[in-house]
Amino acid sequence: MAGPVLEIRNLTKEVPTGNQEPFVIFKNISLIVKEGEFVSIVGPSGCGKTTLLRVINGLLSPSSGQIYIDGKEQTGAGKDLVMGFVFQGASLLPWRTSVKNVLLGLEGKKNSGEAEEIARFYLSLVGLSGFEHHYPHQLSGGMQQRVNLARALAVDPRILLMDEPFAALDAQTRTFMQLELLRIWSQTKKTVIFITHMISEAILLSDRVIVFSHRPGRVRSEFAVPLARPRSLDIKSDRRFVELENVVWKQIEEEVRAAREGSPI
Amino acid sequence: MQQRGLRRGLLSILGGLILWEVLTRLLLEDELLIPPPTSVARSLWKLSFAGELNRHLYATLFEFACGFSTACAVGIFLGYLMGRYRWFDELMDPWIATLYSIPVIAFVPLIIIWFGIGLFSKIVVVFKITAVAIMLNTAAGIKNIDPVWLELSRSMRLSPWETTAKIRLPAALPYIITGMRLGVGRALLGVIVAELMAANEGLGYLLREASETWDSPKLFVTVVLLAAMGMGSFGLIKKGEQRLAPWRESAEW
Repeated sequence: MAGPVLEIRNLTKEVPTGNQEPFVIFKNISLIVKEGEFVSIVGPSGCGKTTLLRVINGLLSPSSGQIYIDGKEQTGAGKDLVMGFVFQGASLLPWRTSVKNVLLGLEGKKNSGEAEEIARFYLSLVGLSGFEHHYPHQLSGGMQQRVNLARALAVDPRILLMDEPFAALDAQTRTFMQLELLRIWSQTKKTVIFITHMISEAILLSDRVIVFSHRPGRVRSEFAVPLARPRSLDIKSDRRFVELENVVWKQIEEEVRAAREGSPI
Repeated sequence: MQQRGLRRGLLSILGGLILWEVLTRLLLEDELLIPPPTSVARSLWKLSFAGELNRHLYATLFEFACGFSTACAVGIFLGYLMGRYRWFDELMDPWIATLYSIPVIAFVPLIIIWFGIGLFSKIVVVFKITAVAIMLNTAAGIKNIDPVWLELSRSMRLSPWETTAKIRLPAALPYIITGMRLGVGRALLGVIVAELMAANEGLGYLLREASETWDSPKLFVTVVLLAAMGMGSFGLIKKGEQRLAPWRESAEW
């Protein structure tokens, strides 16, 4: 068995605030993610989970600590495209059609025929065959996030980072997209780190759920999800699902209360 | 819908022309003040037959095209740098403010002294009057880029050159086109003013000649041609916008 895909050691992110103490966003985070594992991170708002994902991707630099991908230390936004990033909201380029958006990370790296074939394959994987030449404004919110996912997958990353990808969708579309992600994940077997504030979403999708504390964010606890795959919505009524959801919810509630220090939410 | 609008527009113009014809024939004895449309048309016919019109029209169009494209190229380039680098923006700012606040009329005699009455002085005038709008709009477009797209560019590990070509410039395109749109009308004005003051060909020259010889049908022909030129270049830009920025519903104007 090969080593972990991602290893994070003692990662800390601080933001200087002038003369005062630096503002600590998260502190001493260590995390190991295995090949093909789907890991979710949940936590109260403002616990630094989105920042963590940006640091892992090299969009922000850590204050201290190391990030290794396949044992190789990552320093800033390196040249190699080893991570795919799915952004929260509308990050599609409005002047590019779906297929051109998916091509963004492939252009100049593969010959154009091959790149186009790959782009079309991933669009069909996310269920958007026939929408290759639509512009983002012609697509619904759910379809836009599908293109977003296809774009991140098309570069064949070692790890897929997803930053609350379904947060902007309505409840029905969101549920549907969760099921779609289960299907797509089972077909691609990518290693995924998934950020969400929705506990049921995290449990439904993941092999492991990590709970963050309030700021400065630390790993408070982690749970292996004891539910077999393939999963469907039915598992939401499984006793183990409900129990896990309750446990995680209690922990997050405590964190939120601690962050508010008694003031009403 | 659109076709009906077009038909109504044409009908309205036709009605206006008929009214104009009838009123001038009925009320005015002399064509000197306001010539009826038929006289204007006759004058247009005569001028274009003599080949005179072609020469002037071509001269004006050429000056306009040269000046406008230079203004676009330089304006987009400098505007991009202004949008990217604050220090460059601050460096350019006083010059732009000065250049912008001098009325073009005051500028033309100087330009003629410097560059003569030929093509080059017209290009300079058009450039002066258009480049600033294009520059400022491009700079605004580059500055206002959605930060998510820059994050996307970094997460896709695009090179700085790719980021400019694939993210920044397309993102600024609607702004650039707005600048060009603002520039077109002004460019036309610049050419005509420069030609009015000193030239030996062009529509502005024709205008002056007609005015000095009290040839009002000819004056009207020139004005109509200028209007057509303005509308034509507006239409071209609109077409260009639809081609280059099809994701964007074109603004109504």
